[in-house]
Amino acid sequence: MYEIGRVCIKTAGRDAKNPCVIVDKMENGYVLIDGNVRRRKCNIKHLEPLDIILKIKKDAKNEEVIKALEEAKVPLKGKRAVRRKPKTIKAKEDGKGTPKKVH
Amino acid sequence: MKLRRISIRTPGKINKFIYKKARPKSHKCSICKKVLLGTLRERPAKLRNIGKSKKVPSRPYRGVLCSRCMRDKIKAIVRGKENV
Repeated sequence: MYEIGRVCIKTAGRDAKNPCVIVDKMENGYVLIDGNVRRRKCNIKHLEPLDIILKIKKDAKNEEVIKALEEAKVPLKGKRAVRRKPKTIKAKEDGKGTPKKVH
Repeated sequence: MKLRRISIRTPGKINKFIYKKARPKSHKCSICKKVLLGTLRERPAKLRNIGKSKKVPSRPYRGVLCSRCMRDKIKAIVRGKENV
């Protein structure tokens, strides 16, 4: 499951909540990641994988990884950088007021 | 307001107690109620002159959640069980 090109979200550390891509595999449960995070080795236990796989080569550079992330429309910054489910709005019983927008 | 009691000996050789303002309690995690690490316990006048990076750790939800609860919350958001 943790192969080269898999997009994950980092759950621990100072760059948590950021998307990253697996670039190389190491032993003892470590991988090399890059993307919107620092280019370092990371433990598999601190990653949450998504269901997107990119086509990049082994040991790709930072610019190529960010370009591939933007083409796949993975949001790099802000609140939408982490997937969330849409809000459900209940209509008011009196019928007063205007409904709010759904983000 | 709580005061702390200090015992002193005056120059006239009298033992007595004086009272000073006490430090606040340590900050707690809002979910598991454990003591948060990396935070300062000082009165507001001292906190104002210290920069923010020395009062709080550098990660999301700092000063609010402990590291274990933050990891669980991010996993729940990614899996679609919680809103941001």
